[in-house]
Amino acid sequence: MPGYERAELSAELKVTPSPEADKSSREPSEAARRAAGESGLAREAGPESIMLAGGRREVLETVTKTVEAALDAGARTVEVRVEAEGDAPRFGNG
Amino acid sequence: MEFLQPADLREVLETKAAHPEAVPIFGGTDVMVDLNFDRERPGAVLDLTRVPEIREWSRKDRRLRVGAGVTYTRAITELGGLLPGLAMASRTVGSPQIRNRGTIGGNLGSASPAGDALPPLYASDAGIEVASVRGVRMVPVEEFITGPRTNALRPDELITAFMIPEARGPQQYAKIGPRNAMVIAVCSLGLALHPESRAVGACIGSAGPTPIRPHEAEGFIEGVIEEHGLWESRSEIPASALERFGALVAEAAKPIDDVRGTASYRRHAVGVLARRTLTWAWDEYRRDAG
Amino acid sequence: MTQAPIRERAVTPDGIGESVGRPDGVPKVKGEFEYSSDLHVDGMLWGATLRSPHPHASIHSIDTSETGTMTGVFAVLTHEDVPGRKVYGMEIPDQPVLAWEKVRYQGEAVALVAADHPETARRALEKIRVDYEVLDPVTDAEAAMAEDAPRLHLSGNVLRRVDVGHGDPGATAEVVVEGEYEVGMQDQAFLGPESGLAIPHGEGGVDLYISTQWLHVDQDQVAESLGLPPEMVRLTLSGVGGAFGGREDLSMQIHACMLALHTSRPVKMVYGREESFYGHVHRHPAKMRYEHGATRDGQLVYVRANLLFDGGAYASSSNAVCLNAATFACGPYDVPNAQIESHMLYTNNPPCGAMRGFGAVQVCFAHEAQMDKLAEKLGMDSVEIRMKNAIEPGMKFPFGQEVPYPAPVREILERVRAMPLPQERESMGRDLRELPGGVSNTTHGEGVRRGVGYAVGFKNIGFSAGFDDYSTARVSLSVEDGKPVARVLTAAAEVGQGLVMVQAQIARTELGVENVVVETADTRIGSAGSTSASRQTYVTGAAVKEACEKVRERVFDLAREEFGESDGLAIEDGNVVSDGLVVAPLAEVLGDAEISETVEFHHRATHPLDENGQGDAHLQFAFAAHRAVVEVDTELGLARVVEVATAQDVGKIINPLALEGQIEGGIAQGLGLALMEEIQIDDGRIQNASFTDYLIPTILDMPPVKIEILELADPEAPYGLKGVGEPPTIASTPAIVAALRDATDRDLARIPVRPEHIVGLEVKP
Repeated sequence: MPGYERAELSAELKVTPSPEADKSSREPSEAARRAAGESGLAREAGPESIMLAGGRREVLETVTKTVEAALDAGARTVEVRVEAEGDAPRFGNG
Repeated sequence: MEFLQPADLREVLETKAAHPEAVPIFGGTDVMVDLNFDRERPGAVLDLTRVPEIREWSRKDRRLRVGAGVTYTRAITELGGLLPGLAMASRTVGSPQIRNRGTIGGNLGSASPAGDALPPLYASDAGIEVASVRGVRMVPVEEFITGPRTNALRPDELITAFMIPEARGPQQYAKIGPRNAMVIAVCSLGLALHPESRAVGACIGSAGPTPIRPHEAEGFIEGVIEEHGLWESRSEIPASALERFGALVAEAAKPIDDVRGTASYRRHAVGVLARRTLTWAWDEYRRDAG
Repeated sequence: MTQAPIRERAVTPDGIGESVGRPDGVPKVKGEFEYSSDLHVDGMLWGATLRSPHPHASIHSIDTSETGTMTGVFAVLTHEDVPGRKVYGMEIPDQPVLAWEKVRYQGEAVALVAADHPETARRALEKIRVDYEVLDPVTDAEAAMAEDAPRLHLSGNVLRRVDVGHGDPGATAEVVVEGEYEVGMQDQAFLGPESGLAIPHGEGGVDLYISTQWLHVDQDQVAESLGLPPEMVRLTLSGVGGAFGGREDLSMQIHACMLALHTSRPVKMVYGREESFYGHVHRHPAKMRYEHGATRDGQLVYVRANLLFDGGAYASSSNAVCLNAATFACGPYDVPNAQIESHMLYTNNPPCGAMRGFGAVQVCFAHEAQMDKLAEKLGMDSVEIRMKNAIEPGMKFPFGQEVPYPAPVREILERVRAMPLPQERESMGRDLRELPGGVSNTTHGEGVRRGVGYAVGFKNIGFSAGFDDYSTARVSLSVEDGKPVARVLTAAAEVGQGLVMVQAQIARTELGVENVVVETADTRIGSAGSTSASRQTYVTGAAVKEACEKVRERVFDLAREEFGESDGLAIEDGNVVSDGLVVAPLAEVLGDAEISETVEFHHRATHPLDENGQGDAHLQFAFAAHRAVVEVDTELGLARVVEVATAQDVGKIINPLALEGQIEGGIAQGLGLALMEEIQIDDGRIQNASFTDYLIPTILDMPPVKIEILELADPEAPYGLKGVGEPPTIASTPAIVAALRDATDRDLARIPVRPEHIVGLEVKP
């Protein structure tokens, strides 16, 4: 049997560094990774992307913290995509 | 990949001389595995199945010449009475399908220490017939297998047959595997009694870089049998001597730890197998008198 | 709707309760069945996967320039070419579709090639240059927990922890036994390698013909990573050569679709046997510390357990396994006080996930060994102590759920004990095939001792912990060539277990028609859920049954319209009958009409565990007890299982022959885990990725099986049935090991038991 323990909510965050910054600078991304990592919910989801998965409230709180950390470190853009796995029609209450 | 398929022995040897890199194939039970696992990508494969001298066996003066292409199935059905140890070993090889395809020559060519046919050949002092356009030479099996997966073949040579005396006494083969069929030996033991030459031949399989003749153990038990006149009396071998024989065989092993078993288990097990197979062979020898 | 008792139904030939043969049986035996690895279309390309040789490494660069120019190579893809989400996973998307800067296990996918010939594709892979910086691997769960262990994922190495606390945590007892147990990594060892064919369908999407256990969970993940809406990725089930949990995670699905969309050509991928060992998840290795406390008369007082699972590099279904293990850790016993910690860790070993038994297997080995230990310490009979502590309906499991009816733990133990033991015979002079070692001729009877062992286990059926678990079925009824024909469509995966027969049997029984066509499963219809958790006969069976019932009602409506009959309508032998009298042939009632009904069946809601590990987490429980008789060559450590006897409650037998197959097959897999099946890993590297060295039982290892079936109907389930696939695998392993202990007087705390354990030689860990 597979994962019936599906995360309630997942959020994918993609950090784009400020255009003025040195292109190789990964500080915003690293700051986001550190902030997300502390939550216990984070995995990598791509070269500059972070996946948060867990309960609804924890994920949303961590999204805020992570975005803040990235912005504070000089990120210009953070893309956030939140998906409610439990409500996805293919698995959820359909 | 080139597929070479000569029709007779002369042609096959010429082909091998011209294509020393060509990998000989008969049953394919080793070669095809290597190809499938991408371990080998030979430029040419040399099919030996059409050559009668490699395919057939013959008997003369109580000695046998067994073509390298004789399969395990044929060793069981055709040679079971003449080479019972080899037949017993052949029964433990793979599945019926593998035994129908796989050949004793393949065991010699692959030279794996786990080759089931090898201990019986060692225990009866078989000679390996090796041929090339330069001629034929006979190599004792113990010298033929030179290391793990290496043998004494030169690039232009092929294994054409092995020569072995037909059994004049009881023979045994026993093999350890974690399941009851289709298993590669964790370790094994071949044993042959040679009453006419008053000798005991034994060979450890899969517990060293090559099959190993435990010469000290053989000498010890031959001494005990002589000392007590057991070849003539056919009385029981004393239990302490059987134990000692087992212990000496275990000492002669050079096992390693690997995925199939530990060194210490292999050493232990070949000792047990040596004691048991000698007991069975000797019991048979005693019964044969009656 | 009230369920009529089954025996009042008219008996339909080949309906439920009969040993209906497999439609694919003869083709499979004759080699004519088309497995997914046999798929072919003209002009197709062959995909191949470059995999990491290292269990843990950083990737500095991937250079594909040499490959791209090779003749016959049509595509070389890396993580940069993943159009959508770059990670996938059923519970937590954490596994890279293709690795970008790190690889976390040996065999992780790094790059893809499509070529016009499989050999060309393999050679092209060799030309890809990956600059790795090799890192120290984290090689087991204990190492992963260490303070200074490398952090494998952003949030560290703890993947999941589930605690179950029940009763008094400080409970003490007169008699205490402790033990540490270990389970090696078992493989599903399905025979059909991962394979499939992806065909671009011309509108930007792709059709994938695939071996899987759950079409819709594949579809969702594939679409996500392709950056396409799900309806653009259409999946059709292809011939599946076994699954056992190993096909729940994706393998080549996204890869083949990426290559097909990139090249605009059909692309086939087939893993080789060695690659297959890297291409699917395995059963979690476990280390388990147990303490059982009991009264002097053998009543359990408490169980404390610390469970440590190696989840490998990625999450797969580890979360659910961790929870399952925690809930089954005490066994089917009345345990007043329990403290269970279940830990799941990330390591650099191959990812572990679903396999038959799903967390219940590992803990059953441990709790059953503990029960035997306790019995021995108390001088009690091993069956007696189990019966004394057996749970009963109305009691509470340590995770707080009430034990539902039926829970016949005592009955199945009594049944296996009552079955006559195979006669004990003189070991000397037997046919070699009847001795340990078989024809390998290792004993003629010397050193052989017999042992007998018992075990009982249980397993949840269906998905648990609040997951909305459902299946969708469409049943149509119409007249074809003058005869009524029912067609059943679901997306449920037939993986060899026999669901195709079960669906047809249900339709025959419910609709009274002889001709039933079970259509190929695909994503034209809604999800059927996974072929796992022993759930398809229950959940998809219920969906098919309900759809049939709706169709039947509409037939009756027609009959009433046309013939004015209304009382006691039924369909029997192809006729619509009213109170037993024929109204009209079904074909006449139907006329030109096609009646079609689609039903979604959702089973009763389950609930997640709370922070104390308490909750109504599971839907249904299935129980099986086993008795194993073994003979052991105590000097060489070789064992032969002489017989396994089992009693299992199945609620209702749907197909007796298929049931027997599930039970015997499950026991074979349990025997494999007891005696030989283990993926051996050294420093994160698999040592035996082949069927030469990963041994599964052969026919000569498999003993005769005596089976007793109980049919205690579950009032909630269709026909009262219980899932049957997993229970045979759970307690068979501990029963065999108990028998080995009985024969050898050794502890045997690790499975698979190796010959060196039995002879008591020092073994490296």
